[in-house]
Amino acid sequence: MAESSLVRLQAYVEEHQAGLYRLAYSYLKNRDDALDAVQESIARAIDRLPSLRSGDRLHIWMTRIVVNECLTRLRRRKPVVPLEDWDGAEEEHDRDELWDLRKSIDALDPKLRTVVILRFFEDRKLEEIAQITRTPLSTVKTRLYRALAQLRLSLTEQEVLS
Amino acid sequence: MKTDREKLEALRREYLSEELPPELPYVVRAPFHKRRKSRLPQQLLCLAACLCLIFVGALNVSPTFAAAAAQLPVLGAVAQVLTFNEYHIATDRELVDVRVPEVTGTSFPSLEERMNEEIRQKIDDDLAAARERAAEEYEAYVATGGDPDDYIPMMISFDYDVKSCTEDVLSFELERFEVRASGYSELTYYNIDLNTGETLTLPDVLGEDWKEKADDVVYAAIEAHPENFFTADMDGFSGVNESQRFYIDEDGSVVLVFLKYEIAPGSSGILEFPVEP
Repeated sequence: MAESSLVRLQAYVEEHQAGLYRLAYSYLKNRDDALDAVQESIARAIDRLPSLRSGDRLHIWMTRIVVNECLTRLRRRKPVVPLEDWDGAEEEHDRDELWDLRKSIDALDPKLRTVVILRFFEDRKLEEIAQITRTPLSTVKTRLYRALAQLRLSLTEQEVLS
Repeated sequence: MKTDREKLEALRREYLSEELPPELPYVVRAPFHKRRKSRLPQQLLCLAACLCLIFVGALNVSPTFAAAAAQLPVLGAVAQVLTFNEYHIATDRELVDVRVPEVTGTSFPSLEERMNEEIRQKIDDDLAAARERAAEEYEAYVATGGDPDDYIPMMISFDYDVKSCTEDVLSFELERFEVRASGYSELTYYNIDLNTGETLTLPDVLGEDWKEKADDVVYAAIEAHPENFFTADMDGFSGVNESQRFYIDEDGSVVLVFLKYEIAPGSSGILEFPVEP
């Protein structure tokens, strides 16, 4: 493996570690799981470095690895009811007006959730999301509108796209 | 009531303000260390296994060899300095090369542990400070209108050099090297008495009149070429003290080391003076 691409990868992940962690956390909602996922993703990236072509953009490639790692972890997870959903705990939680939306996003199908996280939290362009998830741009748009419908959000076309 | 747009924006702020765990930088770096480390020990283990095989083989087949081996005082424990790990960082601002040494095989495990921890800590701290300087320089360059594409990154390296390793003494150098317009090396020396596990001092190696012996050598060199040194009133050499840098070379000689600019102009570079024990 070329040492130079390893150096490039290390420089990239060191610079973007906060972003990688937040992305993982937004899926897993657990600090230790998110740290594990970041570490595992980087180890995978190092393994797959030989398949990275020089033209590939690291931020697309690395984001894809983190997203896939998180989705795999979510699938492996046994369905559990988070503690705060039990009676009692709920009352102590600050039920602000964002509470419903937050819960609905977490409950979305992972594919829809990925589009929402990348588009609205990571501020990625739809074209980038298509590359990250390796799906056609039209599919990304469909997923985004389906997600917005399920979240009962009404945004203008401009708000969705920019 | 917030609009939908504002709600999403608020959630995004929440997302961005998620607190980062303090161990994140280590978690991010670990896979690289593992990867770079994993190759060497495997080869070494393999080599060690081969040597053992040959050795066992020889013991079995050759009575002379077995007799000779029985007289060897120690099998195994050999003090040495190995590379604990190696890593590289390349950004627009700096190019970093680090080789971290590790002392092993002395009869003093707690000394090794303490020393290795101290070395790692020192490298971590010095590297963090150097990277901060590199970032400041880069920002100053860009802020004053410099083209980022033309920027020459600061080069920072950490490396070590074993000066001598005998049954009695282990002496090695830890170097931090920085290149901006010109290079500058910061050197730290570790001299260990392998019989006691103590750090060797100049009085230990030169005797009671260590100061006279050391001063004489340096003053003699200054007298021979005064033009190469700062004069005494220009902060030049004014005698050695307890914190004088030194190492012990292969012949057992004590070598005094002065950093660039310490007692002479930069053109003289790093100065070394062997002292007869």
